[in-house]
Amino acid sequence: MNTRNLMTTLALTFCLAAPGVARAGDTYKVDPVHSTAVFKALHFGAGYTYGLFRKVSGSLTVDEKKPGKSSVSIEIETASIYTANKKRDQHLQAADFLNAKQYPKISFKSTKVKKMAGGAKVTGKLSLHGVTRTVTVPMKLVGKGKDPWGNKRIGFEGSFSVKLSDHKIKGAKGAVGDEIWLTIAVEGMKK
Amino acid sequence: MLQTMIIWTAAAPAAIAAIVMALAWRLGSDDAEDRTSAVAGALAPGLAYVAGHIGLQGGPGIGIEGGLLTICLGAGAIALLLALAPLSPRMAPLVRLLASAGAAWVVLSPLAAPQQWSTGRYAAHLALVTVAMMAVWLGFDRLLRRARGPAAPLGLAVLVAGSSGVVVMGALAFTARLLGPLAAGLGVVFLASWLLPARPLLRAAAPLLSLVVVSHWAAAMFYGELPPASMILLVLAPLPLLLLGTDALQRAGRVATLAAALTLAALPLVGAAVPAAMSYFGDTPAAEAGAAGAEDPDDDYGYD
Repeated sequence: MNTRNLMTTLALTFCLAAPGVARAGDTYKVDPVHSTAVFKALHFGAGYTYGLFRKVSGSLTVDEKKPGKSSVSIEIETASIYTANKKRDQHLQAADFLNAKQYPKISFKSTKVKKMAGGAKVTGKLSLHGVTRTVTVPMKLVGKGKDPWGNKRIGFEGSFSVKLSDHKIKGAKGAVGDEIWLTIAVEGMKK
Repeated sequence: MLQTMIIWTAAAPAAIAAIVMALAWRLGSDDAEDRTSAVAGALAPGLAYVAGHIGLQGGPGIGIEGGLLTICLGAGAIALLLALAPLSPRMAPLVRLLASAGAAWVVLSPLAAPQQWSTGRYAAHLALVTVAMMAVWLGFDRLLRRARGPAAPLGLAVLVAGSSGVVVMGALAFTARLLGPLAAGLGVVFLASWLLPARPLLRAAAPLLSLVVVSHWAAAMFYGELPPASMILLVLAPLPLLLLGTDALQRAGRVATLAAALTLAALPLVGAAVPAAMSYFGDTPAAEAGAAGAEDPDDDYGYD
């Protein structure tokens, strides 16, 4: 190998390796069995009705050295809504509320992650009912651990609220309050 | 909330339809081809629906909500054009096909990608809804051309209002609600036809009524849980109303004709309501079975 070829090989190796150097952080796949999205809604201004979405998936990239490089991508299956009443679940899935057939997923993709005490402040695009809006969710690091098979796990939990009217969900005005409080609890398993 | 519902489901749409009917009374004539009456007859239920839609839904809305309003505006425009210039027998089926296919597309197109329909499945759904719309359009057209006086508007008002009761069991309240303003508009046309029995008020209203009504039924099936059996029976429901155009019922007294209209409109709706009611009331709510009742049996607990 002459000097010119050697330089070319070294340059190529450096270029190919560079993205690997930049891609710091661990990527975790959201464990759907141990992740959930719980919500509560005000009913007739009198009391809270609780429910949850049973199917949550996505991925988390956690860079502890450079938190700004971390990212979150969460998908929730709209039709997995569960409020312990089948008729109500059907109605919430229908076009009066979430229109699960037309909008089968609720998604959140982070655009900015900022470290805060005990976790991170995650700003991103929430797509719900075909309308995308920016939300900021304070995500608390719940913990880290290893399962019996040696898989690295990490858990986060965060709460925020959305307004149905912001997402053009008409629902049952008067019966269901406009503001919905959500808590997202995700457990990721390192890929 | 109840006040808003009453105002926008019935009172305001009826008031708007009444203004249109008053204008028809002043400006129209008893001529069977009177264009003013035909325009007013198409405008009254159309404007009633638009007012109700905006009042109840708070604007055009996105997705199927906006689609239903678009269908009403398009179908209303077709009805007005047909009121002014009736189509030749050769052109009429083509217009019926294109308008029905367009309305079916507006209803179904938002679902094709999210539901991952194959091209064949999408085409089959489009064809079925198009055929349903064309069939109802043809039926309404025959009825409104043959039946004179208040019987046909009464039958149609009952059909639309009653179908709202069927649709609400498809877990889609807003489509059921939106049929209210249309029924209110038809109710006013019924009263106007009672007072002015010779006026051809609904002569050109078939495209508006058929496309709007069937698109709501289809929305309840595709976006809600209305069983296909109920949808089929709803599409067949206008058929008995065609009897109002028979010589026997045309010659019968007013009370007998109105009683026939009520019966012929209501009976098929009872049939259409049965599968919807079985589906709606047949399932045991998960809450009664406890939380475990809602769990998928094949769900892995995931201790891994």
